[in-house]
Amino acid sequence: MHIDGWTILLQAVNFLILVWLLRRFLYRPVLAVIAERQAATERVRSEAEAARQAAEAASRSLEDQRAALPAERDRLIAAARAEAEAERAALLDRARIEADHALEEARNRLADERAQALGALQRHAADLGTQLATRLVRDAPCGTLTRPLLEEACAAVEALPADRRHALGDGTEPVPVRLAAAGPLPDEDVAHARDRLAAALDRPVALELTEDPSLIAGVELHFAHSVVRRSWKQTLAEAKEEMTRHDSARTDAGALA
Amino acid sequence: MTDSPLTTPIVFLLGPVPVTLPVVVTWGLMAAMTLGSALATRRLRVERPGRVQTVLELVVETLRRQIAETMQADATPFLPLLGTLFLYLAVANLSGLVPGLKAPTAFLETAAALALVVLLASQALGIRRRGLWPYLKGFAHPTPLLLPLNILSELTRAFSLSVRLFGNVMSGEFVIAIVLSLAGLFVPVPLMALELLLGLVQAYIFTVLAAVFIGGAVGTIEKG
Repeated sequence: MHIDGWTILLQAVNFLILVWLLRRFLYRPVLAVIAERQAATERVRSEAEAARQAAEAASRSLEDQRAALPAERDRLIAAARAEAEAERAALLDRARIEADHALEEARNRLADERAQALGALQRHAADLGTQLATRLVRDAPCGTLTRPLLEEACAAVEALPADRRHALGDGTEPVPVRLAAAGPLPDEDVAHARDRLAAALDRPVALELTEDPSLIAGVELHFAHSVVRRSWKQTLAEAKEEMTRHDSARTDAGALA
Repeated sequence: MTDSPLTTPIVFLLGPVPVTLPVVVTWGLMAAMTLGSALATRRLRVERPGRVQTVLELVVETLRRQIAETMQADATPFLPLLGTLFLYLAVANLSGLVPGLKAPTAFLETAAALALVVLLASQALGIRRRGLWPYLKGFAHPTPLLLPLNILSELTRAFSLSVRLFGNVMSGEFVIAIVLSLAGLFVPVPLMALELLLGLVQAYIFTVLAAVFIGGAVGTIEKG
């Protein structure tokens, strides 16, 4: 048996050349295609994985949102309740204030109306009283009521200070005095009054008698610049005014209270 | 068939170099394989590969997976050497069934050349992967007393590789030739079918053993 060394060498070289050729023409292109396909597959798989993770994340997010919904709902309800409560309280306060205001206004109006009614009633009562008194006094005999008032008027002139009594005369002589009475006076009363006035003024007096039924009863002594009034007309007017003023003051005090 | 199966016929002389029949057949096989590969890989597509491309990808991927399982490592760096070894052996073993052709592997020189390539490749790859000194120290493992035995086993493994391949392929062809000369045209057909299977099995065994030797040398698996 003969083993040819050249053949061994050539076959070894042939094999190595074939290795190189197949690597160039078979393995490299086929492996490149396989690698490219694997890369594409991996790319698709990673994209799918990314999509899956995104979907999972979205699902988790939705789940979290869904889990948070009751809490959010409770929070919103509580907020709405609190807001409604605050609104209700504000409305109640406003209503209370308005009611108080309306009540106050009503009270004031009522007090005003009552005061007005009372005033009107008082005025009516005063008028009625005045009318009654006037009728009573008119029905009474003239002398009985007028004489004391004439005495009072003379006494009032006498009670004045000397300088004022002197000023009543206005420097004229006799001093002109108009004696107005509600009805005719007896002569002795007129004479008596003239004497007293002359004594008080320290000068003669010229009395001019006039009738004034509106005086009801009593007299008025008209000097040049002043008047001494002692009549039921004046008394009743003063009484009425006093009564009205007093009652209105009392009504105001009652309203204030 | 009067020639001895152990003689290597010279086809022509290239200067002082005798070009024998297995070399010429190998050139033919190389040309066919290279041309076939170039044509098959001309229009590879990532999307919707054709039938030829699918077969190619299947073959390459199967080879890579088998080498990876055997070597327990990434097979891509070893695929050109070991893949070509399997493909060449398979084609060369089956070429003996073509009338008028004689398988290059039925000659001891081809088997010896392939075994020599595997031996040298395993040493070179072992040194490159592990470094010269650690690789050489591996021969004195577990004790320096085993150094000559380890070196001897390295050589005998290559020798057994070549003899196993040569013996199987040569004997198969020899038996078919004898039966053909004795019985007639269609009698050896079952034997030829058996030879077809045997050729593929021998290619597989040679490649797996080469992968084991290289894996042991680079340290991915235990040395056999």
